[in-house]
Amino acid sequence: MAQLLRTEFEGRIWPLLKLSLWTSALTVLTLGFYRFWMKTRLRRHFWSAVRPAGTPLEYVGKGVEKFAGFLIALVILAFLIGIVALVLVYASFAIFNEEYEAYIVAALIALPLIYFAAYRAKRYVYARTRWRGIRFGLEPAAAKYALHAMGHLFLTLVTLGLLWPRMTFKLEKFRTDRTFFGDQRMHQGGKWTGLLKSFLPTLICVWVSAALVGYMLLREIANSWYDELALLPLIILLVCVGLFFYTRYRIVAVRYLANHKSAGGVGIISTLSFPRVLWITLAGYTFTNLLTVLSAFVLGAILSGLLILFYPALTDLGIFAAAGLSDGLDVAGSDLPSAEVTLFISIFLYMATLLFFSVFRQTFVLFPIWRHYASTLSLTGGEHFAHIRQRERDEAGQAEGMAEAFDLGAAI
Amino acid sequence: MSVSGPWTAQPEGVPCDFHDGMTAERHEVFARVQVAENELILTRADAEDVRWRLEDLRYVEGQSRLRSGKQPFGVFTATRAPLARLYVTDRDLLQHLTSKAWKLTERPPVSGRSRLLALVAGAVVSIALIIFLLIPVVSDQLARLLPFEGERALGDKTYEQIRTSFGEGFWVVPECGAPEGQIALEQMAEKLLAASDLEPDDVTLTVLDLEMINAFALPGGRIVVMNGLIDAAESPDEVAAVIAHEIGHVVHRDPTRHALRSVGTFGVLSLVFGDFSGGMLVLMGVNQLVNAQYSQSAESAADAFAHDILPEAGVSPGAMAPFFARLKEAFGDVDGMASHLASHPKLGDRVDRAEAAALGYDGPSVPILTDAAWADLREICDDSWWGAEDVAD
Repeated sequence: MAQLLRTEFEGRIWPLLKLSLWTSALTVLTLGFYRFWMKTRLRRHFWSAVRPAGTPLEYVGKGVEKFAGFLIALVILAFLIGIVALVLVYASFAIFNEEYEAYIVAALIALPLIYFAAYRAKRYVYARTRWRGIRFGLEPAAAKYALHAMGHLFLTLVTLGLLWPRMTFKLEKFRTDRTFFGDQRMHQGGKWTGLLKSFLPTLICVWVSAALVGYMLLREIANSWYDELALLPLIILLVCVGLFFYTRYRIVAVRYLANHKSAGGVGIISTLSFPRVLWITLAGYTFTNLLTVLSAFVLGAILSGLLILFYPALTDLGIFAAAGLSDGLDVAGSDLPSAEVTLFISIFLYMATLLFFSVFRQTFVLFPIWRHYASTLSLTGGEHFAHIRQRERDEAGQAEGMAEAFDLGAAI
Repeated sequence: MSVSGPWTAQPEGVPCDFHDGMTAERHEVFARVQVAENELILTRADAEDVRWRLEDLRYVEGQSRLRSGKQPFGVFTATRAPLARLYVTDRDLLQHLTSKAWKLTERPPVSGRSRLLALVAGAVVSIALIIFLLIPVVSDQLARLLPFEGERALGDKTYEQIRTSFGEGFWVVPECGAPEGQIALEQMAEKLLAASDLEPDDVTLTVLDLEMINAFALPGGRIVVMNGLIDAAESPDEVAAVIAHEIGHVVHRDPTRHALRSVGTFGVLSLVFGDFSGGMLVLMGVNQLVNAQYSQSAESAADAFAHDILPEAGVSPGAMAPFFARLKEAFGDVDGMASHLASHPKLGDRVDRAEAAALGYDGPSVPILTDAAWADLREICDDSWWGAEDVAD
């Protein structure tokens, strides 16, 4: 009898908000160096909230190994970036008298590195994830992955985007087929053409707007492009519609790919819903922005109160004293804060606002989306778990150092 | 007893989920605490009992405060079977365990601390080497190799960036170009350039309509003087001295070297600090500090250059001295935070050096510009107005 195991989700907003707030504050205070430990703690929280068949996932990564991995990647990349950036800027000014070429070449160099780093980061995260005490794993193949990605990107470019879903599918298959739960290798079934239909609306938007832009450029050369400016709103509309459909494609693709994954006799069923994700995102960001503004305002008011205590000349500004100062407002009066204090206040307000935003986004956008992903997931064939055995620990040295340096997967 | 069912006797203890860490199968166990033997006994229907000593019992790290609905939810493991998991939802058993097992939150000893310290030290040293040795050396070489057109393109780019960033909203800082003032400015430039090895085309002199008392050189020989400096100067010689200093930078190719170096340093520092809130701010501050320190020696060299060419243009090298002395009086040597980050040596030192250079000077005491030309120069920005032109021009 096939068992259907549903995924429970147990996570509350309040503990996450607290955790996110103090770890972010610590990150800012340590000039960003606490971020490795912050990530570890947040991941633990996110992982243990997801409970397939009632058993929480475990994240057993350590902040210190991330930090060490980052240090190693740092030295290699610092050398590369320092020198490559210099040489590129030099070369593009020496040869082209322009700097755009430098950006293009830099992007070409960075692109495979980004795929390489992303794969390594995934390998690290899998190696540190457990469920029922059994380790996950991803075979080391980062260089091959980067190579494959470049090939697929090239094909996508040549076919003007038509093969984009093929790339989505093949890369996912590349990773899934190298993913293990215990000693059980996972398998990505399905076909890339299964993604094609949901990608077509995006593709049409891209093609039509590209054609319109091309037409406008042609007319511009013929010097009558003012007549064609009417096309501009149409193009903007098309880009927006295209983005909407692309978001939908991403969600549909995740669902399709999940539903065609298996590990031995165990299968996955996902009922991920695009309208739901869209709603969570829109509502979440609205809420995040409102709360950020509100918190920054309250903080500014508190700060203003303190300032007025020390500098009575600011009394007229009331609760806007701090904001006014950091905006460089001229106030009459002799007893004003010095340049250092003003600078400090504006930096403090700026950083605090950024911090609030990232904390609220974490709590009200990422967490609810995570919840939706998890709670729409079920496992089939639970009886086969008895045959899945433990696997060896993968050191996954250097953790996700390289991805960290590229700022991939910034949140969790 | 391989089959459990309604007819088998219920073992003693609380039913819990258990995973042995070898397979992903879920086992039902009956857990009971034997205080006398200091053990937690897990009775399994399908295998031998599991016995964990209470001091070996641990929370799985990061899962010490889980809940399942309104219930507390305990996830336990044991130091001798670190992959095995016991999931407890029963309140009484949980309470019993947390009161009797006293090392639940103890963590394994930290290992590899010295390796980490070595890594940190190694990283700091190599980043320092890259920033303070490698990047300066490479950018010096590249600055020397960069063809003049390339340098000029780089300078134009930087110039437009500066005009935009000091501008207000969509308006860039206007260039000052009152015709008479322009003629006076060119006169001054010609005299100074004649005293140096440069061709007249090598330097482009521009006045920007800004109140700041400042002047700087950009790659490709562009020298920018802010109107505030002309206003603050009391004689044309003082302005000439500042321009001579900037010509020194052009001759030494400092701006190009500086621009290239900033690109490299900024890239490396943005790696170190990551992109989290404020990272950007820290980054700019540090970048500024690093590059300012670099400039101190370059500034002194440019001063020395100015002291050399000024006498040949008929201006005392001491012309800088009263100007800087007045600035020092007005703003002090340490003008708040801004001065810590500024890229010029202390004003006092510069006054002293200018005066020392002037001691040997016995040239004419005629100003570099006539009174009429000086008056024209001071009005060079009178025609310019904000928002008059487009950056794209």
